[in-house]
Amino acid sequence: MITLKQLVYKEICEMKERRKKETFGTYYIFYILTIIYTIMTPVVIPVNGTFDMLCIYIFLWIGYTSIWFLYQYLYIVKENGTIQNIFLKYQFIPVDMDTLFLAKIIALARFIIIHILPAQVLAFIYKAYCTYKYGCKFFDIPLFLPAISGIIYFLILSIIIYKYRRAAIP
Amino acid sequence: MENIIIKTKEASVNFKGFTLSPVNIEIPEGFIIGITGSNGAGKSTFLEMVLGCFPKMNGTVTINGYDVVKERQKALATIGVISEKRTFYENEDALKNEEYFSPFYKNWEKETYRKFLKKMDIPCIQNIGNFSKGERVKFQLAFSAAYKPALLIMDEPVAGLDPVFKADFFKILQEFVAKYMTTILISDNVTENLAKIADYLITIEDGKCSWKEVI
Repeated sequence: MITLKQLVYKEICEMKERRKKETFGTYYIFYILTIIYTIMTPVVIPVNGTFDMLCIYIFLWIGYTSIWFLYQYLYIVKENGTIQNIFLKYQFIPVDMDTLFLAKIIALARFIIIHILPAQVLAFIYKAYCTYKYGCKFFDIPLFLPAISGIIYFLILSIIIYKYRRAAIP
Repeated sequence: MENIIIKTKEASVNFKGFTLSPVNIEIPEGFIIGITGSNGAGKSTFLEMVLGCFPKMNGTVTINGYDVVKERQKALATIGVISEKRTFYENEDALKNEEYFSPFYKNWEKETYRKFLKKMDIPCIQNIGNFSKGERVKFQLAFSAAYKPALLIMDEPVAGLDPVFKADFFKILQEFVAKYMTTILISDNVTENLAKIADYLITIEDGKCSWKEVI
């Protein structure tokens, strides 16, 4: 039987292949948006007033939308003009649905870390620069905005994947 | 002594207001069992119960010694399914679908799969979504043949298809049983279709099953 590690690897490779085919390659636009999120979110961390807060909301929303668009193919497949629950493709296949769900969650975590980690590292670097130049506090909550947003994105998408898994009993 | 493939013990299910009464049957290997009944009688519910699609069912169903609820994964590895509910990746062809699903089967044989695809004239480079109903049924049979299941479950595979296709398909099934000793569970609401090939008939009316040998 297929192991969890093999299943995770299979999920990652298959999702990328299907996404490329189903979006006709246009998913790269959302990759660019996640790069904008990665670079710009740490820059807006020194929050001074309403305009900065608005910028944060915009970039967080760009980040979520891009990540959602890029990785929705973990739980859906678009075919014949409709959106199908991918778990239903496996209802008669000898695979434990809970193991399949776990494999998709692990794959999702891996994908999100790829976007969040550079953003967080940039945040540390930029904050260190601001602390040096303006003398502000280094450690504060906005510093960890990329990590916090990554965790929130992961939780939201995990809940969505769980709902799709539940819809495909058993 | 005959090898019992399917064994049900007081198996019943209550699903969306419909109740399938307790069923006690033992089906040996190498036979074709027809399941007949009018529309809404419970044929598909019976087959789904045998496939373990109802975790909260009463009683037990074992296939090849595996409980279909507690050991569903092991049971499904020995079952082939031909049904409209069984879907593949519609935007991919037969070979790509093999790539996606064959790793889950220990006994998958690439050569057997390709042999059956060729035998049944299934195009390898056409998307599954563009198959006709008859092609789809044959494709599902070829897919199942690749891992030589002990049990083949078919939910109205020939409904709406022409008599020539039906005759051809039933001939393939009989060859399948003779060669691989596969047990076949096939449902149809036209009893005459099943009487031609089945060894036994299970008639379901209003959720109640009765068993009859076909002479």
